[in-house]
Amino acid sequence: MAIAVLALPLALIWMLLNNHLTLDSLLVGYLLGAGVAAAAGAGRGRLRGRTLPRQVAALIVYSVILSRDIFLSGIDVARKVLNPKALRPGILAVDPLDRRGLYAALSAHSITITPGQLVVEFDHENTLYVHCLDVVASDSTVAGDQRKRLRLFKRIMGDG
Amino acid sequence: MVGQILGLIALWFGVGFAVIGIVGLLRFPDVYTRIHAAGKVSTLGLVGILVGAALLMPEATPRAIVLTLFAVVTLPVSSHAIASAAYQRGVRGKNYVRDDLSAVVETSAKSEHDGAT
Repeated sequence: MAIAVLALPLALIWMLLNNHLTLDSLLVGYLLGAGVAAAAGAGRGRLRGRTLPRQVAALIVYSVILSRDIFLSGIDVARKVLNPKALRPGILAVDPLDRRGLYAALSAHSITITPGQLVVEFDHENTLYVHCLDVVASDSTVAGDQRKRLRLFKRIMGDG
Repeated sequence: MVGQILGLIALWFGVGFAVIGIVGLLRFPDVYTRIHAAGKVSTLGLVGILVGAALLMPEATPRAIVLTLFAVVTLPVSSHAIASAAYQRGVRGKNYVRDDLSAVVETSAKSEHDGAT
């Protein structure tokens, strides 16, 4: 069931990559997508029809936030390039709030896109160590950002 | 016509940011700040160039959308991998205001050493 649903977006990507928006291409893409989803272990996951619309909505919200962050991040770093004296570099420890590997990894990806922050390392308890271009400014926002981020990830995963 | 003008604007926006990214790579003081310059500014540059390509060449639009998606998903991972490798090799940054990681790394190195003896 999960494989059958997940193969759909993969089929769409296949069609876009090939630039062939035909039924044949959809069919081939769907079969390949099912193979990829099965290989990635989607068969073990559960899909609940009731929460799926909410999950997809959360994913769309997250994509919008991510696009905005990429934009702001590029502009923020570009301004610091033109004025390197404004740098106050340092490394902060950030509690991921949920120490399961999946959420720590998603958080690390998201933090690295956040303006002026870059995950350098994890420790054994999955605490994130974040290199900041302006450690003083980041220190005041990083915990609140992580709370919002984790809430969104859990909604995307259908986990609360 | 409007599409072409928007495409050219996006293209030059992207090229501008790619150039600033390279300037940052040269100007910033240490490995980690340089990764910021290379990773972030260049991501925005690449996205700008791809959006420009999508608007200027309609036949390439679907491919540009998918490439943008792939770039956004994978570029932060490479930044993270380079930063992590540098830290584990003992490369430290300059003029740190604060470093929460150095304490952790020193303690774990010490305990590994203790374990060996």
